[in-house]
Order: sequence, then structure tokens, then C-alpha cells
Amino acid sequence: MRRLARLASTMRELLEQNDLVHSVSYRPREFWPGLKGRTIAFVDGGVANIELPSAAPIGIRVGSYLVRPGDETDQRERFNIELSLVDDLYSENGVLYDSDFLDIAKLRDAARMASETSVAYRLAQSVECPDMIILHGPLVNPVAPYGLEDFPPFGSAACRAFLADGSWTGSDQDRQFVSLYLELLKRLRDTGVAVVGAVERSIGKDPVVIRRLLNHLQDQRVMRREDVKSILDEIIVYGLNDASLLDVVLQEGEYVSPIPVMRQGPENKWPEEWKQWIRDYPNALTTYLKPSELVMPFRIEAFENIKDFVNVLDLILHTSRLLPSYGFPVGLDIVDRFAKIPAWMSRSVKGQHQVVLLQKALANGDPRVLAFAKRVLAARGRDWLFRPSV
Amino acid sequence: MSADPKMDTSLSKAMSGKGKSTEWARIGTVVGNTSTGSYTFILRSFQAKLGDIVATLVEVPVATNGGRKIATVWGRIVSIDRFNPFFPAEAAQELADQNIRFLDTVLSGSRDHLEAEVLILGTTFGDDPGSAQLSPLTYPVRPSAEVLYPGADDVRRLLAGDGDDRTQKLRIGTLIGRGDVEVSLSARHVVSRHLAILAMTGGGKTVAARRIIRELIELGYPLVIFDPHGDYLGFFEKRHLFPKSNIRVLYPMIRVRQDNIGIIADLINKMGKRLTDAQQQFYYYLLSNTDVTEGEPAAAYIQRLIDHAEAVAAKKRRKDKDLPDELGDLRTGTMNAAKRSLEFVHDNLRQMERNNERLRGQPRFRDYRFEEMPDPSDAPDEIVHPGTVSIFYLAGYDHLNQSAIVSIVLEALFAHRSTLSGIIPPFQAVVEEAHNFIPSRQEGTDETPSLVTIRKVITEGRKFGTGLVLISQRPSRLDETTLAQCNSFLVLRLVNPKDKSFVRSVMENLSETDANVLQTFGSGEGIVSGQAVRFPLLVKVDFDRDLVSDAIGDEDFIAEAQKWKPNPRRKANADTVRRHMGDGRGNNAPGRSTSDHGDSNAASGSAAKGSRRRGRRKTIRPAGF
Repeated sequence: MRRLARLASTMRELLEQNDLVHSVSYRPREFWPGLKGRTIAFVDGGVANIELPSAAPIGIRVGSYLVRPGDETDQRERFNIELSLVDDLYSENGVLYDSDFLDIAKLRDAARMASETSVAYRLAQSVECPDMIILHGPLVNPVAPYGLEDFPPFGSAACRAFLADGSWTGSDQDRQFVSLYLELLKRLRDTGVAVVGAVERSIGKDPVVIRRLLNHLQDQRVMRREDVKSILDEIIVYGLNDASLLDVVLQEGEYVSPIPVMRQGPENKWPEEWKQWIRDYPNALTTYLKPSELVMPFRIEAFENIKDFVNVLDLILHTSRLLPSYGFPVGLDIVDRFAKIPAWMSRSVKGQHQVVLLQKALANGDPRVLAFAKRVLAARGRDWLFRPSV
Repeated sequence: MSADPKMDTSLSKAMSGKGKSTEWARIGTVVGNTSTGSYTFILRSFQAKLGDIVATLVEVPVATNGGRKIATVWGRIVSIDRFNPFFPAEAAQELADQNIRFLDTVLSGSRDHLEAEVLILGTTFGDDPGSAQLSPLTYPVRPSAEVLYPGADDVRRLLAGDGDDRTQKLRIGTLIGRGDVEVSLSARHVVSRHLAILAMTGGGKTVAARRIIRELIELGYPLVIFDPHGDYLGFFEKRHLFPKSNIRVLYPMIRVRQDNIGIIADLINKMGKRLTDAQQQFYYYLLSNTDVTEGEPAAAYIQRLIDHAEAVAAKKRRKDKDLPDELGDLRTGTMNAAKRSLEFVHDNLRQMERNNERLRGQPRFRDYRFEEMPDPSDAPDEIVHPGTVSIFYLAGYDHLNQSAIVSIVLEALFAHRSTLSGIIPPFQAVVEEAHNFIPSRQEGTDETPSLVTIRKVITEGRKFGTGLVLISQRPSRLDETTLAQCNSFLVLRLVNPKDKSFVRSVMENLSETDANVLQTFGSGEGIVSGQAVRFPLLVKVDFDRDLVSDAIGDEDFIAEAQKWKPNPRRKANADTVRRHMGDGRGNNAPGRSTSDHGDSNAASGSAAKGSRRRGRRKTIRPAGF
């Protein structure tokens, strides 16, 4: 504890001395009326939990909650399911997914990330374009894990849906997650709308932001490399990540200077064939904000071209303080509840998917496809639970 | 997806047919577990409210193998839960703490969920809900079924039930929040099966009773109203509204004749102390030796009995030789005890007569024509007659005397009905402030002679055309056995937890949710249930403004107190006595009358208490000493 306190004091002093810590004041009675006339959008996706062996059925919906503080009309708030996909996204012909890639969780994650970014892009382009869009989760995700050799491409229909472009035609490579997601992020960034991602939980062990801040000081030659190394070593020894260390460093309403972070991990782990794309991925302008003494700070990401990031952080602080003991933007809590796919709906999606699968397999007429479909429907997976008993 | 597509098809056809022919709006969808007694559904915003009658369709199996029939399931919304899953409690706390306006923030208030619970009332088959027999649901409602809001005509027909004959209905009001649907009671069941109207003060019980009485008057049904406070005198005042009826206001006066001399014994039994065998022997002696003047007031006759008793007792004390032999063995103490019983009854009778007379003599009753009550034994037909409303104005009498009067009158009238004398037609008795006439055991039933009578009437009255309407503001103080005999209930606003739980214990079909609603009713709103209606309904009782009495109403006591002046003569007399005679304690200071200085009494009282606390008595001296 003593060493942790010493580490925290060191970091605090370093941040203060180098003007890397700032604060936004909580002044709700002044702030909220001042927001009148602006539109804030909160976006989150929900994924159906469908277990269907040997297929990649996806039930995804992305919801938005648009709210105009101070508006006393019925138009004040609008909930909408912006994107609802119940399909085999990775099937090119929309009939049957027949790939060897069986890491369904990865497929689902990739589809969710693309969907959420797609919705933010659609909103930013829409007539009622919000002043700010706040996503639930990182704005820029690492894509290297999805650039595997056998990772299937999205179907063309899914791509057209993501890009909100009915005429879009792209190659197999363009339909791959790594390239499609990049395209979506670029398009979203270029709209110029303030878009941020707020990350509810920090699960990684790597103190990415602190490292970037210390490296920044080192780059500016205001800190010795040896000192940076000793601090980082100590942080790593104690297994601290950004959130846990900054929790004791930051005080109520404080945030660290937003700093561009390249979120794609070390280049040596990038798939060779996707390096060119991954290199093009935008950095996430990243900061941690601690809404109150009672809660841990959370990560906020934006594009580097964002204007008035401080105003956005001010909004995030105030929306977070509406959940005083949870300390996370209440709008994201609202849209999360709205978009979440309940278990009963997942079951229906699965049932419907099974019916369509069988119908299409029958219509196909190929005995091999039909046998495969039967196998899929009958399969229960191989699990230790089903091992024969003696 | 449904497991049985056939069922879906037939139901949806029926549903669309219903929608087309009667334009029943779809207001929600059944969710969760259902049973044959209740179901819940998600209600669309502002499409229905508490107490509304709703319907849904269900296929039920019929006797033939595999056969099915579509039934309309009728229900009543007994509770609606409204919740907003998007509005966290934490946020509410912060809004309150910081004094922030909800609308100024990014919080959401538009995604309310409304979950309504429906109590199933029964099912009908076919299109006309009124013509069909309402039968119990035998197969649960289907989760995901649509819930419909039936049209006013259909609900009216449903409530009216078989044979919608207007002359047999007593309109009491409309469904709460649905003024287009009339609620009526079955007149037949009210007059033969008894009705209880229960509500706290201000709940509207008098308004409800007036409504029902009015409807009965319109039917020409004979009515006897026992009115302790004059709440129903308005019927006399507004008698021009009932040209076909004879509305009379009666004041109690008990008269004796040779053939009803037993009434004195009744009075002693009901008002006084029960006589011992020896006292009774003396009493019978007095009766047989004191001549009755036909029609003389009971009080006068009792006074003569007392005089006679005094004379006999004096003889006994003097050991006169002409003392009748039959009294030879009686002790003077026995005679005096019997005499005291007679004196007790006499004093009571005189007191109540004087009180009632004073009340009747108030200026506000100058246009009233009070009649002395006819003898219920000898002339019951002057009380009960087709088209006649006899209002017994009992104000001024204490509870015991009121109870005795009700007992005597009701017992006599019921005796005529139960012996099938043919002198009076069936009738309805209305007992206001029923807790004073049929109190529970805890309230002390010994001094309530009417309890036994009303118990008898409520048990046997159905066979002999004697119905009761019991009205009370304190249900928990009512005799449970008697109240449980009422087959119909109109319960308006009740807040007292004891009253609510008592009502629930007595009313078999009052659900817990209904009981919880009781305290939320506004004035004149309530729940009616029992045999007089097809099923329990939330009702808004019509207010008969035209029956409100000009003479009786909410007295303005503040204005009265401000205008009040003491009687100067009374004060002058008191001063004279004190000036000349002193007050017996050496205090003859002028101007120190007790009536003038009520505060000094209070002060002396509190000082006395204080002195007791200190263990010594303190003398309060008047000013100047």
C-alpha cells in the first residue's frame, strides 16, 4: 500500500507539473439549462445469444436514444432501433454459412463493432444530425484479432446495410471486417460530428494511456527514459492498469490530457496481409475522467479531429453524475437497456433461424446441403456432459 | 410462434370479427403466467384505467372430443403498475439533491411500461354479452392474446344481464371513469337479500343511500327509514319530486292500549334492567291493577304505574292491613327495585321525547310536518304501504333509546310479515348509523335491543319480504354475523385499516387488490359487489343534487358561534343568587360567576393536578383576595 501510495503521488505530481491533469466542475443547475436546444445521441448495440453449431447466425440490433434537454414537447426524446440484423451475416449468398471458422464469439464481436459504428455514421449523416454522439464502448477497437486468414467476410447485403449504401459493391477483401470497419470509421470521422466512445469497464492489464503520457514526456525531453521505465515497471509489477492507478491519482471531476493512442497493438502481431489497412486506422484521442470520488475513472475516446472535446467531457461528467454511485453516462445506461436483447427474443431468433435454414436447405435440393442442415439443427455440440456413462 | 396454428387462425378471425362489428379497440397484450382467475397484460399508454371492463378471446375445450369454442373472457382491471425501466432511482435522488429539472437533463421519461392485472369476471359465448349466461372461465387465457376495450353498449348489456327490464333495476351511477356505462343494482336482490353501504365519513354513503332510496321510491316500494340524524328528511322536503308517493316524517311516541300493554314490559326489557321473577310478579300486579286509558302515552301510563308502586310500597312499609295478599311475601326492596326500573324507563322516555320535540321545533323545520309515529303493532299499515316512505326521525334520542325504538318498530312490522297477516306489503327498512343498532360484541351488545331484532330480520326477512339496507361508517364495529348476511355490498372510501380488513373478511369476493383500492376512492366512488350485480364493479355514484335538503346540511358552526349571545336573563339570575347568597364557600364576590370564568375553572383544575403532583392541595383565590 505504501508503494502504491508513493507511485500515485509520483504520478499525480508528474501530471500536475506537466499540465496533464485538468478538471471540469460539476455545476448541474447552471450546466443543464445551458444545454437547451442541443441534441445528444447515445448509441449501443445488443447481440442475441444464439448457439447454433456450425453456423454464424447473428441477431444484432443497435439502438439509439436521442434527447433534447430542455425541450418540453413530445419530441424531446426519441428511441429508435437504427439497425436490426437477423441474418447469417457472413454468408455471401444469404443461404448457408459454410466456413471452417468456428469462433462464433469473434464473429459476433466483429459484427457488433461494425453495427455500432455504422449507426453512429448513419446518425451523423441524418437530417436530425445530433450535436454529439456517444457510443457505449471504445470508439476504435483493435482489429488484428479479426484479420485471421480464414476469417469470413461479411455478406454483401450486410455490408450495404452497414454503409447505408444500397449500391455498394465491394470485393471479398472489402467485405472483410478489417477493411469494412476502417471504412466505417473513416466515414464517421469525416462527418465532423463530435463522436466519443465511453468504456464502462477497463479489463486490459496494459496501462496504455499512462505509458503514452510518460512517453510523451520523454519525447518532449522533460523526463528521463530511465525514470519512465522505472515507473512503468513498477506499475506492471503491481498489475495496475490505467483505471486502477488513475483512480487514486485523479480527484473528482478530473481528467488526464487527452492523448492520441494507437489501439491496434504491436505491429508484430498484425496479420501480414492486413498491415496496410491496420496502419491506416485512426488513433483514439483518449482520456480518463473520474466523475466523483466514489467511482473509478472511465476511458473516453474520440477522433483526433474532434472540436470542443472539453465541452464533450463536461457533458459526460454531468450525465455520469446523474448516476452518482455508478458514475457512468446515464444516457448509455438508458440506451443499453433499450437495445439489450432479452433471452426470450434470442430464443425466438434461434427458432426462426432454424426454420429458415431448413426451408432454404430443402429448396436448394442438394442432398449434401440438406444433410448438413439436419446436422446443424440436430446438433447439441460435444460436451463432457454428454459423454457416455459407464 | 404458436404451437397450434389452427387456434391462432380461428381466434384471429373471431378477433377481427369482433373488431369490425363492435369496434373494440385493442389496448394491450397478455403476458406472463395466466390462470382461470386472472391475467396480466401490457397496457398501451392511456388506453384504459383502473376499474375498466376489458375483454379477450380464448378458445376453451368443450365436452365433445377435441371440440373447441371461442369464449369472450370478461375482466376488470384491478391494478395497474407503471414503471419506467429507463429511469434509475439514483438519478431521481440526484435530481432532488441538486434541484435540477428533469426535462433539462438527458434522462428519459417517455418509456413507461404499464402492466395491468385483470380479475376475470366470467365468460360469455356468442355476440351478445347481455343475453348470455356469464359462466366461469374453464381454460386459461392465452399469453400473447390481445386485450380489447369493449364498447359502451356491450359493457352495458353485460352489466344488465338477463332481462334488461328497466323497472327491475336501481341505477346507482356509472363505472368509474366511464360515464357512458351505467351501473345498476338488481332491485329484486336488494329488497329481498339485504344490502350494506359502508364508507368512512365523507365517503358518500348518504349520497349512495339516497340514490338507492330514490330508485325504490320510483318503483313505489314501501320504505321505512330509521334516520338518527335527519339525513333523509330531504325526501320530505323534496316530496314534490315524487308526486305518486306519500313521504312522511314520523317522530317516536309510544302509546299504550289494553291490547298492547305488553309494550311496557318490552320497554323495561329493552331500555331498563331485566326484572327478577319476584320483581316481575310485582310488575304484573301493577299492570293488572292500573287501568289503561286507551291511547295514552306510554310515559304517562308508566308514571301512574310508578305512583301505584309507591303507594303499595308505602303500605308495605306501614304494614297496612289492606295490602293485597298476593304481595304479602314481597319485600319492600323488591317493590322498590321494580319501581326504579319503571322510573328509569319513564325518565328515558320523557327525556327523549323532550329532546326530539326541541329538535323538531327548530326554525329550520318550520315547513316540516312531523307526525307522531303510528302504533307499529296496531296500525302497521300506516307505516308500511305501497308508495309510502316512513322516515323515523330519531334525533335527540340516545343510542339505547334509538335502538329500542328501532327494535320495537321493526319487530312489530316483521311480525306482521312473518305471520302473514296480510296487513302490510313487503317493505324495505333502511338503518342509518347501523353500528349503533347492530354493534359487534366488543361494543357491548347488552344495551342494544335492536341487535336481536335486526339479526332475526336479516336471517328470515328474505322469506317474508322484509329487506334491509344497513349503512355504516365504522364497519369494524358492526356485528359480523349480521353483516355477513347481507348479500350485496356497496363499499365506498374506507381508510381505517380495521374497517378495511373487516370488510374483506365479510365480503367473500373482495380481492386484496380491491381492498387496497378502497382508500383511494374519492367521494361517491366505490365498489359494488354481491348478488345485486353480476360481478364486482367500481362505481361512481350519481349525486342527486335535487334531493339535497335546504334545512339539513353542513351547518356553519363558526358563524353560529360568532353570532351566539348568552341569555342575559340567565346571567342576571346567576349574579343575583351569588350576590345575595354567596356560593356556599364564603365567596360572595360580585361578578365571579362560574359561567363567566370558565378559564378559572380550567386553571383551578390544572393547578389542582399540579398540586396533587406536589402532594399538597393549593387553594385558588379569586382576584382581589
